[in-house]
Amino acid sequence: MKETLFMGRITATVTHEIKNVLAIIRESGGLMEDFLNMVEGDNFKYKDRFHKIISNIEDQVVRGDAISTLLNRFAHSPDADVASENVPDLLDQMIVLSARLAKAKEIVFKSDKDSGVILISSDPIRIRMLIFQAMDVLMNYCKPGQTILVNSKVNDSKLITLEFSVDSKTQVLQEFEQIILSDQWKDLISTVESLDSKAFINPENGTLRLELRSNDNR
Amino acid sequence: MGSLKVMLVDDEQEFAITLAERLRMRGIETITAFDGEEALKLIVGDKPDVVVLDIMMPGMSGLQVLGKIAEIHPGIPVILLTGIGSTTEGIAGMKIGAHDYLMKPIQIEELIDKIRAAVKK
Repeated sequence: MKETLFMGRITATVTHEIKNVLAIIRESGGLMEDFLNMVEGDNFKYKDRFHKIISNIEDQVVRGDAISTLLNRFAHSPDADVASENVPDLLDQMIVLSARLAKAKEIVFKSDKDSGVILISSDPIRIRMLIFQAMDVLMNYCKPGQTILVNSKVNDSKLITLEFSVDSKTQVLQEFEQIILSDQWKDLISTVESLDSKAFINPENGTLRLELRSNDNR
Repeated sequence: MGSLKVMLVDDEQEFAITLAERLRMRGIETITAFDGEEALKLIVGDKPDVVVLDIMMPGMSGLQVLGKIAEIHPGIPVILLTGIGSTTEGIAGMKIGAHDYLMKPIQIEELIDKIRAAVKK
């Protein structure tokens, strides 16, 4: 645990530094735009081009800010042994932080934006690891170009269900049958059992389902 | 806003200098300090209307500087800047007397709105 606290503390500190870097980039871009706005009429033929470049800089600041904010929250996850967190937020966090890995596999994860607030009390590191393990399995067994929709809800038994479903199901049947034989799946099962929860794979409809038990429902 | 004077305190000098220039272009007189000790010295002579203060600085932290300002110059409102991806430190600052807080990277229009609101209070 000391090791994860160490990793988390360093990562959180670095996200603070990244925020400072982004702040300087934003102000510098903003100052350029301020000067550009002082140029009257057509006195500077690259005015529109510069506006576009400054706009691109701002877009990247916004992108970097969102990533570093989520990375900071991720880095703070070892701070408590048990925490109450919003499942859709956890999903979004892991989707954004894994975006580069998914992009490399040409796979897109999309979360259901209408889930509302679904609180779960659990081990903050293990729950994130489980979500990532589910995504990682799917990244390895889905085909490039596929989109995976992630839906979260609370069922009648107060279990929290996370369902990952592949859009073009006809292509995944064979690959999904291999998942349960993989070491990745065994690792996922180990994590899900440590959370007193369950995981299911359904090759016929191309879904991976996690049934999560909140600590306050045990 | 012409007579408004703001003190900007941040150890990230490039950030402070650039933001100060942008505030001046918008008619706000702005002075800069790059650490807490310098800020507490300048505040006596310059008498700013508002202090914009970074929380995480070497030497005296922003919260320590805030405590001193609240003690010695209770009439000067302080707006905290935090680079941390949570609101925890900002809220902690408001509990010990900060007027408001903003997350870095800031939007200058939002900062000016908060400066105006702080002066009106």
